[in-house]
Amino acid sequence: MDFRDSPQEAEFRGEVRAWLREHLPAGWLDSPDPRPTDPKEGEKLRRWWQRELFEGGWAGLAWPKEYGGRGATLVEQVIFNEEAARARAPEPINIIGLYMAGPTIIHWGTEEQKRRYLQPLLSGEEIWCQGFSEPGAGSDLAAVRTRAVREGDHYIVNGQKVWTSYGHLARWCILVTRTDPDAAQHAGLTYLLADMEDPGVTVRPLVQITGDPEFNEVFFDDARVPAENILGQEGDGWKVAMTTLMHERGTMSFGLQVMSRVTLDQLTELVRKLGRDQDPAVRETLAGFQLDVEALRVTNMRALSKLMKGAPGPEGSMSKLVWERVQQRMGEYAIELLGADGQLTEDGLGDGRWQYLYLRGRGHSIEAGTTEILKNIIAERVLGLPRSR
Amino acid sequence: MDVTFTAEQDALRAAVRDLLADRCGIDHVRDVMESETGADLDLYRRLVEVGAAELPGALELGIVLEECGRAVAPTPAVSALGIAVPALEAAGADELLAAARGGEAIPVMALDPDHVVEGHVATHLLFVEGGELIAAEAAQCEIAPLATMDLTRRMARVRRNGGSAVGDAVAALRAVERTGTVAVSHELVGVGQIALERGLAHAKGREQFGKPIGTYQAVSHRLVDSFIAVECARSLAYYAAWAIDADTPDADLAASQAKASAAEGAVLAARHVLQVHGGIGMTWEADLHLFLKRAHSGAALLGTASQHRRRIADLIGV
Repeated sequence: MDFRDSPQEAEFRGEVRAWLREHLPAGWLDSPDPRPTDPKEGEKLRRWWQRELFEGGWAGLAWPKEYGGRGATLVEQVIFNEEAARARAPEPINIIGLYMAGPTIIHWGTEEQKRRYLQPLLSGEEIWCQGFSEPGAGSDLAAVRTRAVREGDHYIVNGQKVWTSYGHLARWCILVTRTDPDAAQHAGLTYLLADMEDPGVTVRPLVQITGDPEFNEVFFDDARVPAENILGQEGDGWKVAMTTLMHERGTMSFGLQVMSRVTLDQLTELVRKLGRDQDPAVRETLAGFQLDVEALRVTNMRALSKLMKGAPGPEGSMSKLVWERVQQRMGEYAIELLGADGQLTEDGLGDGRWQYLYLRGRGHSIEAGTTEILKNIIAERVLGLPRSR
Repeated sequence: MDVTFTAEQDALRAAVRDLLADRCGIDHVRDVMESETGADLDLYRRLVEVGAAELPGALELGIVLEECGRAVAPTPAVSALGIAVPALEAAGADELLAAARGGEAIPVMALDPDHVVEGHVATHLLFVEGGELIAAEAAQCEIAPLATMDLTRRMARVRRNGGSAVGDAVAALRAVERTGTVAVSHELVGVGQIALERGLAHAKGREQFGKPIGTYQAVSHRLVDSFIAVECARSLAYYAAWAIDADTPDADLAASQAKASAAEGAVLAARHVLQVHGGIGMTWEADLHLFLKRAHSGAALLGTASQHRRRIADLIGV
């Protein structure tokens, strides 16, 4: 057992740090919170950053070399995510493409599909969005009703998707549709790659409680998807979608603990600014956050070690639950500590940072599987309890 | 980075688990609980025979004590092997250390003479006075056994009338603070684990409203919360043991993290699992109270969760 980087890992970490230092905007690393708060500014920055990552060869790090990746090991990918999070680097704009659509295409796609989609996905030239949830199918994904009917060499798609992050920017959508309404719920689904520029696709932005238009409703009215844009076979949709979700809940989560570390450091700084750092109750609360952040870090390392040895353990499944809880609680605590100042979004301490953290945090226990769904998954698949439905 | 156990460490765990499965089933624990001392010294000696008093590091010690916790083993293993032996080693008290390693001596620390855990079955009691570690034989002490909530790990009030200096108290205390604290944490992880396992078995088998109660999310989510608390504690315990063995700059912080997390995790799991059992959980004849009481006796040993949180705040520089 050794929690330290091996010499090769340390060298790789050094390389990542040096690259980040060189490529992030001037003054970025010294700023307490360098990310812009204006959504338009943020989008511009994130497009630029995706391009930088691509040109530096860091986008799709763990992907096979033949598809534009580096063929890096899982641990190298984790090191990159850790260092990027520590530097508070911008999130690349095509996060759905990089972490969900891309790995699913690599796993299920034909050679032609891989050649067509992966390169512009990595460069950010083509942004991806995820068409899974519907008004009537949230946690119960297999209940999707968006219909795809084969007509000649096209599927004609009708229906509605919701909570579609980046839908307003995306060129492509990984779309779960129902092709066989008579088959058993999980069996009648088909996974399509839909062109968002098709005239049958309408995107309506939804403003989040933070005020940001991060996600959308997407309407499909006789949208046409070429039959060759199917991923897997007709009826494979559930299996293909599970590959996507495995990636959403898997590799992505390894960067999250560093986000919590950064938040805890900022919260500690806030406590000092407020002169509350000698208050025993405040100190004990911060120590509690420290416990969760460290438990998350170490648990991720345990999970990663087992994965690398080809024997995934139960540890990975709980990471997101621990993360969402501590991340939310830190936001809640900041608002509590700030008191009346916590109501000010521009002139208060932190210029709205804490309010954003708090409000955005409410979504952490909903996105990528609600707390309740993830607990069901652990209960059934890890603890072997009987199915709850 | 490689956070997995070696083949030797796996073999050690298997050896201790086999021994405890053979010698320390829950019926045996209950028999010992009803005995005069509440401690099985034969079983303790068997642990010493498989090498539990002479382990290469804090991680191996943790493996042994995690298994002891999972069996709720009624032995002075935590007090003697987890706390006193590392203290003797650090203090350079070679003679008594050799006797402890041979199984002839069962030393325990009398850090707080009014609450000496396993003081009533110890052969030697260790006191910190001035800068010195003083060892007194049991015969040189007045030992008054105390009535304790955890009947499988009891305490005594101890006053010494004799004894002699055996080593450096500062080094001994440092070992207690680090290795001892983490050793207790590992036992707590094992206690939380057995509680969880019992809760899962009950939730799968017990039916109400025509279905196993584990079907209901109000029940299953309590068990998931217990699982998460125990796994977080396990992570922090392994990390702390490794940090001590590797002598990293954050070893003290890691020890406090392990103890705070393990105390809370074990108590939470024991409480949830008692609740999941319903009325039977409140009975003396069911075993749930053994887990709950051991979780509390471990939680109170070498600093409560709250005390360790305060230490964590100091160490992270809040």
